[in-house]
Formats: sequence, C-alpha cells, structure tokens
Amino acid sequence: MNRFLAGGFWILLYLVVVLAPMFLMMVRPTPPGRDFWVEFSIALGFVGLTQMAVQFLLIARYRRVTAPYGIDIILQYHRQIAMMAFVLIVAHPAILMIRTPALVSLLNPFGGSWASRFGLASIAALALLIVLSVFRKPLGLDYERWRVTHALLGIAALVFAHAHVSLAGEYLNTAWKQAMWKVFGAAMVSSLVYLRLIKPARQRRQRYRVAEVREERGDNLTLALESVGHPGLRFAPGQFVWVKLGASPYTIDEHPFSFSSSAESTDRLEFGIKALGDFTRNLRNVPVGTDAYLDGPHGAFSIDRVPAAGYVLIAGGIGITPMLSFLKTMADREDVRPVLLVYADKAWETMAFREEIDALTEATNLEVVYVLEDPPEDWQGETGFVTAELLARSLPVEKITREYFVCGPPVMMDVVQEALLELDVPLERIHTERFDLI
Amino acid sequence: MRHIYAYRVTYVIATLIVLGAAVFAWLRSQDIPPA
Repeated sequence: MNRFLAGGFWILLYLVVVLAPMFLMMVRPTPPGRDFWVEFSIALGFVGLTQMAVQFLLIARYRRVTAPYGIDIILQYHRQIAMMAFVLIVAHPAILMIRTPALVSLLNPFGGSWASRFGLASIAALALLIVLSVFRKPLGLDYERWRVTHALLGIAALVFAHAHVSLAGEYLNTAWKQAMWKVFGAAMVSSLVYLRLIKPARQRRQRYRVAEVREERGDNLTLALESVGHPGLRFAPGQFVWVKLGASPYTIDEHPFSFSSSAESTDRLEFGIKALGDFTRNLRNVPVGTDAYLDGPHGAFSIDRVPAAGYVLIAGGIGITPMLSFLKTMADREDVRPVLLVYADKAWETMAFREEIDALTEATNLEVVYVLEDPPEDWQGETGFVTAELLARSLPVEKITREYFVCGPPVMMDVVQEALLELDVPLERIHTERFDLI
Repeated sequence: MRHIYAYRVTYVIATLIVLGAAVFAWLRSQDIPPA
C-alpha cells in the first residue's frame, strides 16, 4: 500500500477504535439520558479509557503500524496523546464536581464508594506514570527500571479504571457490554505479550554474534555483529534496531542503535555508538562471540524512502552514524548522485569516522564540509556551528531539488531546520531523526 | 519535518476525539425522559 494511504488508514482506524466502544454504549438498553455536561463528562471518561488501552498497542513496535511514520513518530504520538488522554480523564470527575460540588467529597479515599476509590487510584497511577516519564533523568531513574515501572503503572491504571467503570458505570448494564470492555482492555495489554514473549521467541531463531568492538575517535565505538546460520537482516540505510546482548532474547535490557554499515551487506551489521550511558560505556568490555538479538529494522530516516537527484546530509557528533550508512550503501550500489555532507563536531581529533568518510569521497560523488567548534590553530575549514550563513556558502545551486537529512543533538537539529527554511528549502524536503526515544 | 506534521495530526486527532465525545453527549442528552 502507498505510504500516505497507509498513514491515513491507521489514523482513521485509531479514531474508530477510540470512539467505537463509547458509541456502542448507546445500544439499548441504556440508562436514562442526563444533561449534556454529565453525559459529556462520561464520554470523556470512556474515550480516555480507550486511549489509555490503545497506548499499549502503540509501543508494541508492530512494523506494519510504524512503517508509514517511523517509530520515533509513533513514540512521540504515544507521549503527546498520553498527556491529552490524562487531561480528558481528569476532566471526567472535574466536570461532575463543578456541576455538583458535593461530589468533591469523593476525593477522600476513605469516603465515597469503591467505584470512586478505583477511579482515584487509576488517576493517581497515571499521574505517577507521567511524572516518572517526564522527570526520569532528573529523578535519576535508570532506563530499565523506568520501563518496568512504566508498564506496571500503565497496567495498574487500566485495571483500576476498568474496575471503576464496572462498579460505577450505569452504561455497562449488560453482560456483553461488560465483556466488551474487558476483552478490549485485555487485547490491548496483550501487545506487551507480543513484544516481550512472541517477538523474542522469533529472535531466538535469528541469532547474531559480536564480531568486533572497535574504538573510534571521540569516545565512540563501532559494534559489529555477524549473523549465525541465517542470511542476516535486510534494512534500509539510516534505520536502526534494538540490540540485546547476552544469552537471552527475553531480556528487557535492549538499546536502539543506528546502522553505520551498508544496507547491501546483511550478514555483517555495524553500529556507530557514543559511549554515553552505563550500557554503552560497558560495550567496550563485551567479548567477541557474545550472543546478540535484534528487534528491527525500524525507522523512517532513509534515503531509500525519498528518491532525489541528490542529497544534503547534515550531521552533528554521533549523528554521523546514519549518514555513514547512506554513503556506504551508495558506494556499494555505485550510486553517483551528488551528496554534500556537512559534518560538525567539537574538535578534529574527536571527529569519529573521518578517515572512512575521506575514503568514501573516492567511492561516491561526495563533497564534505567539516565544521569544528574548537578548531586547531592551522585549521582552514569552517568553524563554529552550522548556521544559515555557513549553509548558504556550502549548499549547491540546485538546492531546491535535493533532499535534506539532519541528525545530531536536538538543539542543533532545531537550528539547522530553521536555517534551511530561511534558505527557502521546502519543509517537506527536510528529514530529521530525533533519537531521544525515552 | 515528519515531527512537525505529526504534532499537527495529533491536535487534529485530539479535536476529533473531543468532538466525538460531544456528539455522544448531545445524542444522550436528547434522551432525557420527560419529568
């Protein structure tokens, strides 16, 4: 299916899935109608509940669902829509309390009914889940612990909300309506079973082995994996996988890494990695031969998705990784379309992969502009940051016909995107990848 | 680029969901039994 059609289809399906259970509550027998605001408040509760359940579906990395958008977009949507669902869920009791102030007493967990207690517990679990997600880093919560807590709080919020609806909901007055909500919630949560049990069982049959861990300039590493007894993984240049290292594919300790190798080589996969966290720093000590399992490929940041007469690649720091995959793939394919690479980093000595890039200028139609924040004394090239002025100097005359790929620290990507727009590059030609998946 | 469009689409989806809830509420409020 065409990517745009597929994109529209999933959005439409999402709306149907979120709204349908609420409208099914209108099938008779129904409780007597009440005034608009009471019914509106109940409707917000229902749609908040279905959205909460569908959140589980969004994170299960179903490739069919994520392919039209890229998984980073799905996760961005997961975060954004969660905030909205939370507002709707809080609005549900808030509207009732504004209409009937006496209901404020239900906020006391020792008063009220079990229905109101479950409702409160659900909101509390959601509030805690959001606080821990937004402030994970300042709170010093490590990624693995956060993931487990996040899933448990999500399940708790959903179960409490179902208990609340069953006990309080006059709408759930028939067995089939009760069953529908339970089946719907269970079906969505079962996405976790798919992600944590079914997918790893498949990965077990597609084992990889660490072939090499290579030091690169600037505290960066290359992790090389070889397929064991199978032809490897087909991917598009610029995509990424979740990598699990060790004896079991069932571990939740997995990390997203971008391919730095050519998409034409499927049995030996390489990843460019910045040693930032505990896991990436410890990668240096991973012995050759260690088992590895991959979930992927994922991601929509690829030259294969946007055919063009040529490309402009703008990378900051380890954001060079997907660009390297583009260039190596183009070299293997003997693709001679012109490419301009603007590569910015702190210093010449810490600029990862620059020897490989220099070699690629021989094999492809590549021009490189290095930009150093802290240049050596005899440096003749560009300095400072990637600005509109620098790009105006560097971009080809036929800049309108190129596709632009930007990857680097978030601030740099914002600045570069603004600069490109300033230079009349159309927004739809600028492609970015925000790798902050947490 | 995708991120900007995705933000816009999210707002559209959110608006449609709230509108759907309002339609439900309006339909149900028409069903108030006579006093």
